[in-house]
Amino acid sequence: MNGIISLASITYKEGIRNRALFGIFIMALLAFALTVILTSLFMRDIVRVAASLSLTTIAFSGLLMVIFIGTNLVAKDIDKRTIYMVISRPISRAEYIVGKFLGLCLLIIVSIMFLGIVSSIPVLIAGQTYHNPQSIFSWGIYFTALVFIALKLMLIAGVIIFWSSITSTSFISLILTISVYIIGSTNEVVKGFLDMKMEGVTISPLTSAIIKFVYYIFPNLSAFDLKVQAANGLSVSVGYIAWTLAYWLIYTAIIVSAGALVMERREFP
Amino acid sequence: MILMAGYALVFPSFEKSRYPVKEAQARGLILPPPVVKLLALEFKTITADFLFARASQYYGGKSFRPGVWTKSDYVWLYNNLLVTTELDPYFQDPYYFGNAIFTWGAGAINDADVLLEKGMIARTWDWQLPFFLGFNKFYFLHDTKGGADDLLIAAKRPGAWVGLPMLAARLYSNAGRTENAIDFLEIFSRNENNAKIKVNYEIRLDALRRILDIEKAVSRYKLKMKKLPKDIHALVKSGILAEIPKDPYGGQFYLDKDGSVKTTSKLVPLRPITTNDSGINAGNR
Repeated sequence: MNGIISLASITYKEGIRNRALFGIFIMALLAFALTVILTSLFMRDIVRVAASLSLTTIAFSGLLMVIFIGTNLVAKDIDKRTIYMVISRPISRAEYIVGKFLGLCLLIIVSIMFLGIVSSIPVLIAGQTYHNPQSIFSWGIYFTALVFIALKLMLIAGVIIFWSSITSTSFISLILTISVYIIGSTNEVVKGFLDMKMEGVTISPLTSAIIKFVYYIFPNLSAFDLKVQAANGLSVSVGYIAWTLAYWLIYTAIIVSAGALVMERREFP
Repeated sequence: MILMAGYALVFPSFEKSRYPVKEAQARGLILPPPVVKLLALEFKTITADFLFARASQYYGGKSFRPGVWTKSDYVWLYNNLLVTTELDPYFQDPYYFGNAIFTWGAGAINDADVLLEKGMIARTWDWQLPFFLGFNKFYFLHDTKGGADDLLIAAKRPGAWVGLPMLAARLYSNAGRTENAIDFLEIFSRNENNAKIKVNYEIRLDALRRILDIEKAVSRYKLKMKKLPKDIHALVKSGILAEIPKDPYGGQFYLDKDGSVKTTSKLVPLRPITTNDSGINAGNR
């Protein structure tokens, strides 16, 4: 257990000191500043636009951070053969995987908290510039959406861990993770097309089977996207939050465990 | 140094050669909503922001003059707003913008109404959408009962103006059209915080009040002379109207064959108007 904690803290420190993270933060801060200027292009729903741009900035920076820094932190050990130093220590390979994952999670939580707090500034400014009586914006759902962005990034971190345990080059796990992200963000929409049963369009049983397979196997990342709700101040039911949390917990546990299992059986040349 | 000079030399020609290309791309492609939804990944709200900003900038770029606008411009704007509201059906601006540009002057009331009805379903807390719809039905489509029904829907929503049920009752009783339109627009104006849009409402109100004055003069003429006035100048000659009011939109008021008051501007600015034209600053409104 101590091994996991110290490995997690090493991973976190290595991540937070990464120059790329600094660059991503600078980009996010510039985007927040730009948000204030861009909202002047809109007529009434200015708070909604500010919230939409701020949350998009966080989601995008978070994605860059997890995908580039995350793959770097995990796959680098195998890529550069530094893993031999780790596996010669009294720490099991499963513990190594869990430690890396928790370190990444900590990095995500700290970064999203920082960006989340800063992101409220453009939204506050937008609220001051124009009073819109038809707006029902609420901070509660705004911060719920931020939590969901963090959850989604942690799930993607799990995916990175999984691919890194299988492949031996960080570039391949990067490509595979991006693929999972794109599939995970669209599989619900594609399944929706299938369910709509458009007139005059016949879908072959094979295509239909593939779509269903992809829908159930790949993570449904759309479930963690509450930007529309947060920007417009719509409420989200407790049931939705609870079930999505349960889904997240089980999916992430499965993918990290799968990574640990593969790692246990892996032969290092 | 030579390279820098070369850059400075090439850049103006390069920029000039881009103009026709940029012109052709100004409106930009609109993909079908399902495709946009798929491609937007998790960035649906910002895509909606972008599409709406593109539409409103394009609209603002082509200043609003009759003749400059072609049907394809409206089709493009309409499709753009449809995709925007598909990505984020709760976004307020596309509905209000669509209602503003498709009604007066454009005459695409049905397009405006499709958007408003879509917005009404998503934005269940927004009383202004059914209110706008009610006005369109009453004023443009001459469906007074349908308009009154929508006003009652608006009246039930939070924050709705308290006078709405009264206005609906007046519509049900088929009172004067112009007077009701003035009542409607006063509510539009009262609930508008955007100073620029408020000025537009005030100009329109001013025009409608002048039309109402002429309409009243026509009724008095009919009562007095037992016939319709030959033209608008007959009202002045008979001493009922001191002078023919000026159309704040730059057109000329005239009387149709049935005695109804019309204007050559069709209540759309014939030239960029300033607030002085309508004299609305004089009354310190």
